[in-house]
Amino acid sequence: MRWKLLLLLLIPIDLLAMKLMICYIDPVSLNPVLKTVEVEGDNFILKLFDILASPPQDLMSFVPKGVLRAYFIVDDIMILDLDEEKLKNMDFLSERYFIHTVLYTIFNNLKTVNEVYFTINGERRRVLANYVDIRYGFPRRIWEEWPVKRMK
Amino acid sequence: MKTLTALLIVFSLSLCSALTLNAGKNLNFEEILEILIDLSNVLNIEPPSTNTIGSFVYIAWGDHIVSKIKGGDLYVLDNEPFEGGIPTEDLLKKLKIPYHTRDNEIIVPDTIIKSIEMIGRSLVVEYTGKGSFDFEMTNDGIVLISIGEVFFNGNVYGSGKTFGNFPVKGFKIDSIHREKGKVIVNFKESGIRTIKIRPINERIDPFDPNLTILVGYGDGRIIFRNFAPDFKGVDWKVYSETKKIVYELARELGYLVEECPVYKLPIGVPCFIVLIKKPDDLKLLNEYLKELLKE
Repeated sequence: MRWKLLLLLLIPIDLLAMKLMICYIDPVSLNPVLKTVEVEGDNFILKLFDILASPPQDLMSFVPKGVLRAYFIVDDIMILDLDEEKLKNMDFLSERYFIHTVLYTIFNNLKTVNEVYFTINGERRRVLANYVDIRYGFPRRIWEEWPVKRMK
Repeated sequence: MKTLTALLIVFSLSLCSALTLNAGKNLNFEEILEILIDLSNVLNIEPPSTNTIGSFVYIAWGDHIVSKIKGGDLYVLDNEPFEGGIPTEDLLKKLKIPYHTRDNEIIVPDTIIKSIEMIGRSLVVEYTGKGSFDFEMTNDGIVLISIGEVFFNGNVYGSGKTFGNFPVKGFKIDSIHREKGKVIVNFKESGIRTIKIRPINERIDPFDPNLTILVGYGDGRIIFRNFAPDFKGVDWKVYSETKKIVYELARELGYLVEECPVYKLPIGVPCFIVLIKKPDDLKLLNEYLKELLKE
């Protein structure tokens, strides 16, 4: 009887926890490395960005800490508002891989989001920092898979 | 009040077209409401609402209020009083509505152009209202022609007047995609295509009829622009053509391919970036491209 009660108590705790697939980067090959992380409670998008910015020791991340200012979801569109200060020192590779890791993680964890837009400090901008065009939406069809491929 | 509601319904259902008003006329309450409903259609904003408080009847439209005492003749527009109705031009000026006068008539545009921009090899026009404009190719480029009353850059252009000219020599219109508030015109080259290899720091001219490849040093990868959902499929053709070439070239060179909207790769233009691993790869790249041209 006690075991059944304990089991019943554990069910809601398990339901509140969410398993997220997080994309980090192998520093040598620049290939994506996926890690499953369990997150509890609300505001899990903010948590997802915190986890993205904290890679395990042998891996790297192009997502700076505290880069996400706010996010909005309208129908199947997600708008991510980023902090300009955190992006300003990115080079060509960092900008591209920031976009790839964020989108790949978002599209693989939020199945109802089909397009992502980026804004910087609450405004529409031409580029993320210097190189990547953020005037238009980023579609699930491209970033649901890792967008860098080796041809055989 | 019933008359006002009926007016609201009738005018909400009517199609928006250029508003022609009498220059010297003082507008009464119903006429003001009618004009504001039409303007809401052109500006694509919330229509006005009407209400009564005690003996006051008023129209609220955005930040503006028009009020009058029932049965009286004194009108108040944003705290400014008008005796016997509000003169048409005063109303439009106060509401900051563009208009022009022709033969003692005031003409309010049916289309307001918000922006005209050449994005890559596409002309993108954003507007509110009816969309009373068309495109015509000339020897030098593309011109935008009003087919109604179009407001653009501080001027109102009547039917037949041109209000924009973009040089796209050697190109013709490929497709025109229209949606509410936006028109995208795509161009295709009318000449024979060749291939140009340029250093990565150079800019690609979106109307250069050549396939342009920007080359720099890197880890052996080819970067090309993805399609964007905003273009509703009009950029798919160039996307798939470019992808085909990029994939074949990457197979030849043993390179990685990467989809990314790099700003210096113009939209709707076949182009990509090659980050070569070693100088010898440039020879291979040239040889492959020569083969591609023969096909």
